[in-house]
Amino acid sequence: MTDFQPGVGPKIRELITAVGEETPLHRDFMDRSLSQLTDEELKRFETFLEFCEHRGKTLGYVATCYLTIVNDTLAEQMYFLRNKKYRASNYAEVADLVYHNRDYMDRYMYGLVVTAFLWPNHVEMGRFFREHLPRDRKGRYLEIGPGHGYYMMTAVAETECDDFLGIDISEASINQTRAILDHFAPEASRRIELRLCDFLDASTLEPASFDIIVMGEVLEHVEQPDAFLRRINELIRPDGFVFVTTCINAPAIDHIYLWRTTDSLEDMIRDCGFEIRAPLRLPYEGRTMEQTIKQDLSINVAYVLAKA
Amino acid sequence: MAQHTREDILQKVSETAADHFETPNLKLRDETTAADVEGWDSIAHIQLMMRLEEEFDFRFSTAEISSVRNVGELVDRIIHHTS
Repeated sequence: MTDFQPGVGPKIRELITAVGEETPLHRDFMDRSLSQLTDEELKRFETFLEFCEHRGKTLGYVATCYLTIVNDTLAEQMYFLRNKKYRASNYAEVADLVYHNRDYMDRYMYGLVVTAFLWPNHVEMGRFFREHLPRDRKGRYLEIGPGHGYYMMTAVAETECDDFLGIDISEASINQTRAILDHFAPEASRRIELRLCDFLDASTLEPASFDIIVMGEVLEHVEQPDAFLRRINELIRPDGFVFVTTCINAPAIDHIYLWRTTDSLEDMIRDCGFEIRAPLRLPYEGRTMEQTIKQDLSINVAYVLAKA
Repeated sequence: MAQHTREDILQKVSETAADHFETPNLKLRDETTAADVEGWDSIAHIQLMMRLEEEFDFRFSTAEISSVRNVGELVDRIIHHTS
């Protein structure tokens, strides 16, 4: 166990210490992860934890939320390594367990934001998003599955878009996204709509009407990822910007669509009418891509797409 | 399964870990932790636990896998499952 480096704020220290007491092996992982964050990222992490406390959530509770994700992912990793498949394969199997379970979803949302800072591949995908997000683009922004709200908050703060629409199937996600946006961008609230519904059922969206569409970590949660991609292709303007993230061989409690290779995923993306402008393919932390593939470990991917 | 002494089990765990981490001279002790062994991260931990399950013919619970703090505790869990 190492001492905390300079720049690690008191709330991060408290969170890491609380998690590390429960899971000593994970403490080493968290120390390594923190050492790779920039000062700006450490500040954002500390600010997020202040936001949690502002919402009445103790850091002990946030630690519990993060441990929920760590332990559930561990169980699913073991299942996957033993059985070579995800435990669930359709929405019905996970809906009651996760999406309709208010208590679980609340924990899930807070825990997920912590992974955005502590899981190196999630950090890299966040950096990739910030690097490619077209900051001077005006017009309409759509995010499918804003989840914890962090990508949407970045877009609200850092683009010139005129209005923002977030669509999510989870009430807990909508509430979390609303809370983060109200806290960090209250001046933008009149330009933001959050809609609780299934994206494929949102029939009032006009074709070719969005300038930026973002969908982070959704495709592995749905039965028909190609339907989602085709619908995005209908909605994005011909010169619009699309950003998508997902994962390969990445077991989690509510992952139901399994891609076993990046090729199979990228073929689907192209078949749905996109060209891949910029790919990011991240092997398992601490492994080469060759080792990752050989050991059936997870690959995280992010893509900047355009209409083909 | 024949009864093994604690030393037998520690020896077998050490041999399995040496092979898993490709470190032929690796000798684990009760007080050894993951931080003491290069490459012993969370996924390597899961993989090693699964190899030990095969070696000793039982299954760890998820809670056991995430909570074990050192090799000594690991050996204690194996004894618990195999005695």
